[in-house]
Amino acid sequence: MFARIASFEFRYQLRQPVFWVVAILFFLITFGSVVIDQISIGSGGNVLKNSPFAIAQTTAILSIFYMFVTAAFVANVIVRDYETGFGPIIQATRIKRFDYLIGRFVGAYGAAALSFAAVPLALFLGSLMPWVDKETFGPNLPAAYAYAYGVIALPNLLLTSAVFFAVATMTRSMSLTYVGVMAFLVAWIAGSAALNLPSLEDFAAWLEPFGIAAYAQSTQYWTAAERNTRVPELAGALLWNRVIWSAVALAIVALAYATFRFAARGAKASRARVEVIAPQDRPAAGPLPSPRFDAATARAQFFARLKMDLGQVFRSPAFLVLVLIGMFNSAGGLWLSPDIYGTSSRLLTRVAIAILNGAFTLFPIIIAIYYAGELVWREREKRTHEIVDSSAVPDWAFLVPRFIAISLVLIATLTASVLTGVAVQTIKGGVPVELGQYLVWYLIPRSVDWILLAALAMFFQVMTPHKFVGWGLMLVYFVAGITLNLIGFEHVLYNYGGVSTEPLSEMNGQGDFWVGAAWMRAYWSAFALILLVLCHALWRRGTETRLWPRLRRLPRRLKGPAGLIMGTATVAFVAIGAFIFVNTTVWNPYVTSREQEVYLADYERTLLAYEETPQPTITDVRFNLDLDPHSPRLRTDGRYQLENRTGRPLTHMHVRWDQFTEMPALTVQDAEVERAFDRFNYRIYRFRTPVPVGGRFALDFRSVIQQRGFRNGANITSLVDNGSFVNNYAFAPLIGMTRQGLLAERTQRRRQKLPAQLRDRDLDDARGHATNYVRADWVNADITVTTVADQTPVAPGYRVSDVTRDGRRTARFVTEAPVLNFFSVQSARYDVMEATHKGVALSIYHHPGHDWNTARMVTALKAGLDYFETNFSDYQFRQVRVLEFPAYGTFAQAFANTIPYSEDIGFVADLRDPDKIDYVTYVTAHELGHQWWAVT
Amino acid sequence: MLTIQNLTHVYGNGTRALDDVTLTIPKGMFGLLGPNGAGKSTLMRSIATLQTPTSGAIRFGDLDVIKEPERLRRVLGYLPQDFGVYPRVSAYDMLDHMAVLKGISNGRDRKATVEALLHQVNLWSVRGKALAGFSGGMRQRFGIAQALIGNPELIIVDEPTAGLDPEERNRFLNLLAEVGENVVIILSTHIVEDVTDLCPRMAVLAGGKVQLEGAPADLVQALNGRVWKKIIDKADLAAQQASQNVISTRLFAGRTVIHVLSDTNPGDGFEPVPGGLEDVYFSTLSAARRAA
Repeated sequence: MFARIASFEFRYQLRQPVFWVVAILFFLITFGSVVIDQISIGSGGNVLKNSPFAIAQTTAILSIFYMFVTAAFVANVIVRDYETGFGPIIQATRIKRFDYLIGRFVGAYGAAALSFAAVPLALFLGSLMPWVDKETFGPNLPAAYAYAYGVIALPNLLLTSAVFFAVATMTRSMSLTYVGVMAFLVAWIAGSAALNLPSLEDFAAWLEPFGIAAYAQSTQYWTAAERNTRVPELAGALLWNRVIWSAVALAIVALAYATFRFAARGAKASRARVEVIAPQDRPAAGPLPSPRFDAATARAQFFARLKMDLGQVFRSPAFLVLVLIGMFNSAGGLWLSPDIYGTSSRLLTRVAIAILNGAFTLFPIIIAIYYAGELVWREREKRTHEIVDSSAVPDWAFLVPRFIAISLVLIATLTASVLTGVAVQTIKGGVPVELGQYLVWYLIPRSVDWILLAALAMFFQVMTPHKFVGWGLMLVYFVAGITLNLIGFEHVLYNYGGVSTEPLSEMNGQGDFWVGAAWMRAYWSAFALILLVLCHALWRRGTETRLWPRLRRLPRRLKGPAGLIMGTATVAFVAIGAFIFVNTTVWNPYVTSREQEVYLADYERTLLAYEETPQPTITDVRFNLDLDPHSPRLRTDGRYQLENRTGRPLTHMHVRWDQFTEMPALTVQDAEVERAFDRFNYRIYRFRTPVPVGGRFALDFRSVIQQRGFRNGANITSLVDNGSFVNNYAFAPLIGMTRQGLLAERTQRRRQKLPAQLRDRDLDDARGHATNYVRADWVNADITVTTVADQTPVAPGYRVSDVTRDGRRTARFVTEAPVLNFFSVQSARYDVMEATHKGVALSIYHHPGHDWNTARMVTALKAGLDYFETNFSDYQFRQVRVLEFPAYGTFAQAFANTIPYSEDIGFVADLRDPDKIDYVTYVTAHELGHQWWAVT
Repeated sequence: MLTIQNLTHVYGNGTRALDDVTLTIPKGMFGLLGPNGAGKSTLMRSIATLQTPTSGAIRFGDLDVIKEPERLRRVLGYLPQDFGVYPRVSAYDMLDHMAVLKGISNGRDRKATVEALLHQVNLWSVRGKALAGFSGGMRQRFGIAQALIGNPELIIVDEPTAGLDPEERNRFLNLLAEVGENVVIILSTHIVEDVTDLCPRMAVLAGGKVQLEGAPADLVQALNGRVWKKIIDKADLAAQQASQNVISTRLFAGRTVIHVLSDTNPGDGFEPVPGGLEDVYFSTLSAARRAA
């Protein structure tokens, strides 16, 4: 009996769409990770894509994702009998509780395990594909597949199957089972994060239920070669982890069995079944009020529908649970906010928003997709559609209130996350709570993004014959989006809902980054409006669910306002799209990451040969920079003095400049362009007469860095309204070819048919000794920076003048002795903290309000000066300046007597707790140390 | 007056649910009898604008139902054969909601409508309870209440008495009879007594075709003297069916009672019975089956 039931269940599950859909989905995900170079799970570096290590990692990670699937398999085992009403019929037979429950569990688990076999199958088939990079694959080891499937996958599937089987038998509800999945997932994430400490490694190896920690522990000291060939011995923590968790799984199944009863559960009986009291005298059927069909009715109908739709979401238990889990997850992330050496940043609103964007985003996405399905199909599922559809409510009253309801639900959900952020900020203290920033930087843009997503989800639901198909299409949309991006289709114009990035900073707020994003949101909103009108016109009113008859009546339903809205939206979509195209592709370069990779490879192939060509030395630089941070545009007029120190007459000189910098003027004294590689901004000049040894000459240039309008992806972050930070590698020409900025990633290099790695020079190679490692000459510098009047311009050197005239502020900086030819230029509205130590002027240029750690920086500079002067040599300058720049980068960098320092590291570190590591002092002292050792 | 002309509906799987149906339905109660699967619900849904028939015409007065479904919906009250309810919504709130959808937008009007109807269908005492907890009969009464909102001129009730206990059924039919004098009411059912009790006119639908149409009294009259009854053993049924036009069989006290249709006395222990509407119905069905 048991075997019959198990095998019936197994065969039943095999006939269900979910089995095939899931097997195909996981096959594609895995296959993609194998054959698309950009995706890799577990491999990378020297670890091969089909190494035992990579196979085990892929299997383990996908088996975690698979909990959503095992839940569907095992929950269905029990829930379907209650949903179909078939339960009592089966339970009235002579079937035993054990056979019924455990037999079905075994069958469903078997089906889940079989469909998961798509993962190793895809790994194997992927490794055989002809177009893959053979160097990233080794021989296929059967033992590795068997190990991953048997030791990693099967116990993991058993565990998740058991847990959700138990939840399903106890709750007899599919949605509560999925709530259980979410809870399990969050618990696993939180637990893994908590156990992620070296001191807890052994403990984690035993306790982490999916064996990931145990596997990591047994392979952590393995070389790439070992990872490519060996599977870890099934012993120790790994063995016990598998045994313990399989036993836990069986215990949970036993628990489910022990608590399961055939009888209708008590909860259902207790749901008060209302019965009529004795019939009463009723008033005679008088004339009832008659309907009216006017604007007031339309309004009332709209609000009645809206209220009903909102109530159906807000009062559904799943919604509350989802939001609570989301808030809980975000609160955890906010509480632990990002840290460096265990020291958190202050929980600034900007930081909180970044955390919410990571920790909370999944929940509005799930809510948008899930409730789009629920709302579109509700009438049909609750079987109220015949009554409602035949009532005199106008057609628009089906779509419009639902769409507005789901929009309000999403806004409410996001508001809940804002409240979480505000609460944690208040508890942790030490920062102002900026509600305006929450609104403008988070609530509004995210609301639009997720409402757009909901519109697409509703459209899919209206088009497809079943809720699950609609949900499946959303999954396809996500996978397709990621895949398109990876293979070089990155334009926002065809990535639904795509917007350019909007990095945040206290110094620069949203900058101008919101402008492009706003146009893109408007563009996709217009498209979403078209989708919504189509939803309206194709709505299943009545009992006809097939698409074709609905398409046939489409033209008729588009007559009138619906068609007008659709026409207007189409015009807006095309017009805004054209404007975005001009901005992203005509005014600014649209370069995909794939194209950029090809560019760098071609650059290397064409120009690396010139690496050894002797070049003259720069001895003096003069830059005159004219910065308009609001455009943004930086014009530089500059002059180099150069000298031939190559030891022989110089016939040629190589000059190049940054890929995205324009160079309208560039002249080399007594030389002409012999060869120009315009694609690479690279020129070879030939001197009319060779420059003798020790001969000096000049180079003059004018360069422009600018951005007109907005870009497709990342906008320029070096020139911004407040907090520009740019260096001479960007605004000035470079002399000679170096390896700097060439492709470094081995797989990218191989893909571009380049040697996997450029070898460093031999230690004894004299050519390597000829230059310092930054390949910068020692130069005298004279740098003049002009910016807007309310900002402070700063460059390395001593300030000799600072004049504000006609709304422009000009400051000039000169060096007193040669420094390395590497210069930063910054401009922002700064507060300055100043101090003097042993005759050295110390200054911290910081954003107003970011003064939590400035005194600490000054102290660090003083201590550093004392130590370095005692142990190395005298400090060669009379000043040292630390200057804050926006959080677009997270580093500090040393230039001569000038240290640009990111907003996101020292300035906002939360050092109120004296037990935390004071990395602010460490980083400041480190950068000061660079004044002695290789300024970079 | 509702006129249906040459209405045909073929489902996607090829099922011919309605086959050239032509009917004229005057004001008052109209009974539509037919066995399960006869096409009754398809016909009801087509009239209720829920599906567009493959071909044919439906007119209500001067209104073309297929071309202008939204106009028909304004005068329509429809109780489907099978309907569900939203979770977590009370009877009052749901009826109020339906009243808004049916155009009773004025708050006072709506209150009057909802309260009167809840009293009429005897749900007033449970108005605050969630519909989802209602018994089948109570749910059915809620269904009729919503169908009566806004004085509809065309009321379609599809199998309304299925699942009602006799008392509830009586109350329900009384309610229909009260409103049914000046409007068109189509009562689709497979229970003959419903029609006998209420309908001045009726039709029998089977196999997607109208098999019979007329006034019940006339139809019964036409059978007068042609229906014969005999009590037999179950074992003899096959022989009787072979030799006689058996229109119905039922059990009575363990033996089988058969009715046969015959213009003359078949003898052999048959005795005449006064024909009822049930005999009309069964004889029509058996004729239809033979024709098929």
